[in-house]
Amino acid sequence: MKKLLILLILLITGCTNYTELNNIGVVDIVGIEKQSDSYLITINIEEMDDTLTTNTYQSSGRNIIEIFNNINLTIDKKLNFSHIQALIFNNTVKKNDLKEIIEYLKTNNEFRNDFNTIYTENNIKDILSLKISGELINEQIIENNKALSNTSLTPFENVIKNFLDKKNTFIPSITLKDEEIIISPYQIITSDKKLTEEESIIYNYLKNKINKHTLTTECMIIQVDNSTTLISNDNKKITINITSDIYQKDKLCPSTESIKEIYAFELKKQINEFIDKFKDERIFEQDSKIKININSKVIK
Amino acid sequence: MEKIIEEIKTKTNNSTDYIYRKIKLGNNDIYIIYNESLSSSDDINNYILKSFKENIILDNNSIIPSPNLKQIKKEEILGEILSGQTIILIKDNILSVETKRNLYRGIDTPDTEKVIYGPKDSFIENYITNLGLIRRRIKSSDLWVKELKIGTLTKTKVGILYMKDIADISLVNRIEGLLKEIEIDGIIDSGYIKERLNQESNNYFPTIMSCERPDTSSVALLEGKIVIIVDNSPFVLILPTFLIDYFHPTDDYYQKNKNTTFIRVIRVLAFIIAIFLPSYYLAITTHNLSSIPLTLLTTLMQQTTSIEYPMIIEALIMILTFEILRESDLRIPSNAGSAISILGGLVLGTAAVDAGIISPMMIIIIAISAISGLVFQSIEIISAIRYFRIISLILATFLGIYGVFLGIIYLIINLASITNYDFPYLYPFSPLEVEELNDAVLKYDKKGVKKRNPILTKNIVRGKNK
Repeated sequence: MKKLLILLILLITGCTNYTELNNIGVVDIVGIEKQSDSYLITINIEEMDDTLTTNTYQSSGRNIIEIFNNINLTIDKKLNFSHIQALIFNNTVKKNDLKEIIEYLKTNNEFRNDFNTIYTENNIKDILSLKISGELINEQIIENNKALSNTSLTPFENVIKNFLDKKNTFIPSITLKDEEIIISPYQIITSDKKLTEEESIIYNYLKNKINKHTLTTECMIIQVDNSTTLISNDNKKITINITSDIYQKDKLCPSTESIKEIYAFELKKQINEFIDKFKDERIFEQDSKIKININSKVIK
Repeated sequence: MEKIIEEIKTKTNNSTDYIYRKIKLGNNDIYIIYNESLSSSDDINNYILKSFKENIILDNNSIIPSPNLKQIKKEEILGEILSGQTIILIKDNILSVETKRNLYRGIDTPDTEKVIYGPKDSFIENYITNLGLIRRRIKSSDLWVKELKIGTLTKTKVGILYMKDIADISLVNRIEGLLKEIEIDGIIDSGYIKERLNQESNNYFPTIMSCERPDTSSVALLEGKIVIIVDNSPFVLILPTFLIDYFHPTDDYYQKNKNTTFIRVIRVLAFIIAIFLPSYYLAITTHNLSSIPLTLLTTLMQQTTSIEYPMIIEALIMILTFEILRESDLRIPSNAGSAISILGGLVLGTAAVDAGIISPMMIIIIAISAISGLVFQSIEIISAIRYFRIISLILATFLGIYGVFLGIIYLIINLASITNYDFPYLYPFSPLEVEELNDAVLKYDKKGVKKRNPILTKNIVRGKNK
């Protein structure tokens, strides 16, 4: 009886999920775009032919479930979505489409939701056919953040969280230029608003993602080496505390003010302008009183 | 006298190793009967024939310098001869003189239980020597021996050893009763008795420990366990045993506590790795790919490109090959062992990868698992590990990680259901005995291990015996 039970368990459960390693295709990048009423999915997968190669496949469908089913049917290997490095949205994807995508990916346990989201205005297939890996794109974004602080990685989990909080998400964007991928400043997902280089840096100040930044004022070029931002919210009284390590890189004209005063004044001004411009994006709760404290330490 | 000799000749089919000598001493005819394969001709010459030459009259009060001379009955003659005694037939008397030939090897180092630090003597095939090796360590009159003869043809001496004030007497009586019930032609080795005393014949884990080290046996006796010595066997039996006993070689008590604790943790890890590593690898590479980092996954994919067999077949081929190698390594003379290791480990492994039969990672996984299993000295534990390794491997093939967890549950249920002479096998973990945990996986300072195992004895305080 015991043996029969074990046999039954094995037979009933079956080998549904069993896949040999040489029969899988590891999906590296997924690109989703919209074409009139249908979705278009482009994926880069790493699969074994004679050697490990990256191949690009494309499929379309009326809804998000259909495109993932269709792409599975297109490829003779079992697709593994648990190692996606990047999800690329095209500017054709609108707010309602994003809702459908989020709901599908959030509820499907094949996806881990820790991949990064990227925005582009280019055709996704053109980008993926460069056979660049998702990991490399992510590394480029990280390097950009280290050098210029004008962008940073945005995991899909953040997109889901902001979506549920009915907030827009700022995601890094990429541009294809002469068959090379250029990392561009943030884009607000599902909106046509694209941030400038300076706005992206200010956004990173607010998100505590600043590494290095060169702030150019009327009379001085100030180099920021490191900066930490702490935001406290006490009953709609928001206090932004920024502490930075700075030094004077260049002096453009004579000034009586100290480097600290110039830095604090300029940064505060830019932050206020940014908050004002993007108040619709609900970075902070509406009707909040915002106080900005800027402390700096001159290191050279 | 002639009639007796004729009778013996008939019973032994006039076998040529039975020697009959007739000596005329004065007016008396004396017959000497012995078996030349079992009796020492030197002893016969020195003690018996020399006495005759010096005209020493033999009777019940003989002065033959033998430690064992006795008058016996006619029907005991053959049994005595087969024990190595020499029979002297004189007038109406039948005398038996001890002239046993020494057929035993000397005390050697243990083969199956290697010792790094600690006594290096081991049991041999002689009952008295084995008993002596234990008595030499426990110089106490409390070490009692109950002796039985088992086997209708072999009449093998079996001794039940226990400490009078420590061991559970009801358990001793129970074991004695079970031994008395054994109806068998002969006991050739202690393994015969082990099989009969095993209460959990359907279980793969050993419940009676075979041991060839006198120090381990002495420690077991002092803990309140029972040791069974079988004549002609270099292995004594220790019972009852718990799973944790197989993680505690006696060497543990000859080293620093911290080192022992570290090694014990390694043994527990090795036990888990030995059983579950192949199934875990199989589960994550065939069902739960999300748990493998991308770079490792792509490396594994590259390794398996040319492999045509499913992973379970790869794993089973490797396990089978390892078992064949291990078995051949055990059986062949030790001087050829290194050749087998080179052939098996290097040549076959490399060739299997080159031929596209096995992936390198599978070789690594099975090798780690197999080596981890060899941490244990008991061949029965190694066999149990092998059984559960294959079961969990099959479960993982069908069910992935879920199957591995089912395998773990099956192992725990299996271990927890063993009741060896009413003693729980997983003790002191289940039922939990906090004080005994001081010497379970972790080994605390000896001051903290002042008490004996309370499940084995009521006399729990160590060092308080008279």
